[in-house]
Amino acid sequence: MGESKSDVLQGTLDLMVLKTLESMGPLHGYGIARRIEQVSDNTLILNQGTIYPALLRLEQRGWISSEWGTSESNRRAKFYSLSRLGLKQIQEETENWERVASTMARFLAPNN
Amino acid sequence: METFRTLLTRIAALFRRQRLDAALDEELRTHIDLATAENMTLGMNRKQARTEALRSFGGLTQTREAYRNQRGLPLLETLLGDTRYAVRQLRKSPGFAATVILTLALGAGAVTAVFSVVYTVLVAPYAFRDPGQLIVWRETSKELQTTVPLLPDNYRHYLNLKSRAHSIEDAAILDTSSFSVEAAKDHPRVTEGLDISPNFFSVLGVHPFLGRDFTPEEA
Repeated sequence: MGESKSDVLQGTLDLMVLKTLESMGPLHGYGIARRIEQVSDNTLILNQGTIYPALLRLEQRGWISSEWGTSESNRRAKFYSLSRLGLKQIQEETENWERVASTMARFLAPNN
Repeated sequence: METFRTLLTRIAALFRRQRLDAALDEELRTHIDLATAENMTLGMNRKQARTEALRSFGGLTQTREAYRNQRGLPLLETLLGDTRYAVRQLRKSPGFAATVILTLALGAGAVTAVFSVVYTVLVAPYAFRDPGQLIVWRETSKELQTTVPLLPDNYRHYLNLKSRAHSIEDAAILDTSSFSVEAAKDHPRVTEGLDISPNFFSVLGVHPFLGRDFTPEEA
């Protein structure tokens, strides 16, 4: 029996990507996917491919920007970086998440 | 604002589909190569490493599909695709195409013709001023209701109504009639018409194109 894994909750992937770019700086898609897997300590079921539509969505909203560059192994790769709008979005979504999480915590408290 | 921005990039993407597709393919290839390389450092052989890389990626085709749906205007693209397909099919069989086009054209023509008649005859309001304020009054009596439901209008009743009723602005009276008209030296002809009170046109709120209508003194 492996450890239990959860699906990536709807809407959480965006924040994970933004947060990853905030802490790691410009990164290519594979790097972002690996980083999310590592930070979540492999408790998430993440099809790495789902990162690409998410990256496009974030770029369309102006929260990240992309640029072709060269990877550590000298391959052409698209690098994503956080924009100023994206930084603002992180703040907003973080507050949002904390609110939801604390509400859930109250419901899940043993003496509720 | 974000929605607007998204819409703009989606529209822009419509015109660069092939280039964007190529860019995505390259990006995904890089992803698989990087993953394969990392797996090989963990001791897998090339084949295992690549299989494992593809497994954790979870479906290149689905990713491309989801990406394209996010990128352009899928609805519009599907519609364009369908239209292109339909045109191609019609081109292949010109006889069928001609039949279809003719049928549609005749159908549309017939509907338009019927509608324009129905509209002007039944639906369109009369070109009078405030047609909704216009009423027609006829006289009747309880005793004659079954035999002569509508009586000829009584001129005195009309005068009475016109001068006393405060709920109406004005009233005109009319009677159907026919006239003998002789134009130039031609034979006289009988024409259908109306006998009207002089204020008939002003009650309807219409004016003649040329000249004037009748004054009370002319009656």
